[in-house]
Amino acid sequence: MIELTRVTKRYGDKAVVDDLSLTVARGAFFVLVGPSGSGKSTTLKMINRLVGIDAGAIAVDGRNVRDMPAEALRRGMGYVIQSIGLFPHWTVADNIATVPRLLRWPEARVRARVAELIALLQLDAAEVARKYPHELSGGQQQRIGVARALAADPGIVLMDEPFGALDPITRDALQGEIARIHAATEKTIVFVTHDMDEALRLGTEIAILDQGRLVQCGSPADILRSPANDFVRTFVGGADFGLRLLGVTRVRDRLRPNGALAGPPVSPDASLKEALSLMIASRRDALPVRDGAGRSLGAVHLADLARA
Amino acid sequence: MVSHVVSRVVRRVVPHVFPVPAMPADGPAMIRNRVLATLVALGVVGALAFGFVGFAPNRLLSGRPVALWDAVSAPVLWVVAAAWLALAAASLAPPGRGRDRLALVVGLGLVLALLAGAGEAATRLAATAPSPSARTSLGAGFWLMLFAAALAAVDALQRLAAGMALRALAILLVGAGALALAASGQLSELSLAKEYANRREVFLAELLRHVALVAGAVLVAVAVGVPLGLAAQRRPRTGGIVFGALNLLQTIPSIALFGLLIGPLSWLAAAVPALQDLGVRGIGATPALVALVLYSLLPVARNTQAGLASVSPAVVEAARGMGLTPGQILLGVEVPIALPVLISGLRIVTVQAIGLAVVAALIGAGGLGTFVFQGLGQNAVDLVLLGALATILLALAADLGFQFLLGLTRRSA
Repeated sequence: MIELTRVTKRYGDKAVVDDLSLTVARGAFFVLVGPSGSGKSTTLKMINRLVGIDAGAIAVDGRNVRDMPAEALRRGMGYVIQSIGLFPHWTVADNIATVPRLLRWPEARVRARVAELIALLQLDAAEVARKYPHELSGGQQQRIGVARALAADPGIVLMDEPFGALDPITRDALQGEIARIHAATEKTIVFVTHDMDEALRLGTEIAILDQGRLVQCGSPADILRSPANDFVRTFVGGADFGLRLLGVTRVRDRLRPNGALAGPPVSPDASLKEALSLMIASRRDALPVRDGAGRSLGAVHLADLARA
Repeated sequence: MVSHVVSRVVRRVVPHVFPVPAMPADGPAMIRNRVLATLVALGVVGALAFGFVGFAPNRLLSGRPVALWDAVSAPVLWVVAAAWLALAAASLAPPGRGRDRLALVVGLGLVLALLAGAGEAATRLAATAPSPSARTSLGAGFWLMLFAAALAAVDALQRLAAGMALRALAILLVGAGALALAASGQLSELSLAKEYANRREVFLAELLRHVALVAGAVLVAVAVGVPLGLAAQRRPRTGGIVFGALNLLQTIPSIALFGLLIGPLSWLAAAVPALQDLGVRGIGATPALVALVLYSLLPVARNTQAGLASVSPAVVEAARGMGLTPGQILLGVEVPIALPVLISGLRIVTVQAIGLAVVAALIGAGGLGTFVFQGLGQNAVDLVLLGALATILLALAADLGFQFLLGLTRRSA
């Protein structure tokens, strides 16, 4: 658990983070989102003390981060940045092994862990392990960046706009990977982005910041259904607002128990947005809902999607 | 390095100085390699218009030029003529690796043949001389042809896009050939060799002194300049002051700097006897070392700063974020990435210091400059040449050594 209590950071007279209090629960996928200059990156870097704080306190698992040596604190957290920052003079395998070697793991364990991570990030060990970073594509490099952050199996991973520089297809794939890894490992992830769709897709909890202040904090559905003020409404709104709302609601919440329909089945855990997409693609106004085992649970109807 | 620059300059300049008229593409006299053609012309002019060696009754009189065909035996003459013909043919041949390989082998062979020829000429002329003090020095024709032949080989290496190994092999072959010629006594009647023979013991001592002076200066410059460059990179304001001061130092002419140091160092030695016991004096090795260090500081500090600045900020941020200590970041990340630029700086500094150390002989520091200034004083050109040639060869060797090191760091990076 990470707790920020009335944290303030000033550069000159300007408070870039202003009296901010947040609690990140263990196992959360916590997304800090806001326009540029909102203080989201600064907030992230205060957690691993890359940026010092002027007032307030930050505690990780109940311990004030100032009471720990900065290096020890950082070795216990993964850190991924947009510009990746792989060491150009080390091979991919050596890059991934950075923190385990700093922690003086036995070499056999380091090697086993590197192999495990390359597989976890769906890369071909035989192909990439001995290569240097400049020989990889941007997407592969960021996969290595993520693997490096996970190497020593930290309980917390900090990610600063990690997919912001990637092309849409690669970004989509990596978003899928990190969501899968989060679900499988129950790590606490603090993730900074300015992309609302990314925040809604990945976050279990979203904090919206503006000019160094917390504007609203809650689940994606909370924020879309009851935006705290006009800023949030504008930030989450726009032409796609309705689709985003569909994106955070599950099919099981609009289930009609009526009989077996024809057409492609949809999972009760799919979002309404996916259901709508499937309806339009298959030219139907209702779809059968079936669970993973293929049992029929009912149907979802186009007319119900617009319901509040 | 030197050879690259020379070849590049030759390629740029030659077509302007000697414009080759455009010829029909299928013309029989088409010149396909203008550089080589120009070098052949230079060599032929050297052979025909200038003396191959100079012959004088003693070492203080300037010699009478002796033409190539009078100086060497018929077989040597034919070998040299055949070599130039082969190079001329190569300059007309269509581009290809065979043509360039031929030019390389003939160029290198010609360098050795010219050396052997000069030695033979000296031996033949000595036999005709009335007194043993007669001297045979290397003439303008020899130097022109040597220069042209060496550049022909360099040009061929460039065209072959030769790697480190082939370049090193070419240099080793010529070096070994020259040493073998010298060891066999073939060259011992040359004035240069006689000057060397007269000073054999002193020569080695002065050579070692020269190397020690340069090595000491470079080591001190690294010990001082690397921290200065680090400080300049960490704090740009400090950098402005440091580079301002070092730039100013660099503008002082070397002889003036050597002279300027005599006063303060004499005073220092007189004021602090302990320093005097350490060998600190107004003249000698101390001011030379100080001056060489001062000249070396700018390139070392500048390249340290540039090398460290070339490390991406993202890499440093990632390193900090993963919990590397500042020391681990400097030694494990920044220095290895900056190393090629750092070594380039050392290469500049070392070659520069080898040259500058010649002047240091003026203030009694010794080294190869001793021969240069003795020669100048005695009007003995070959003695000047002994010091100068040794300096050039030393600088070339240092340059090659650093190129090799640089190749190693590039390979691992």
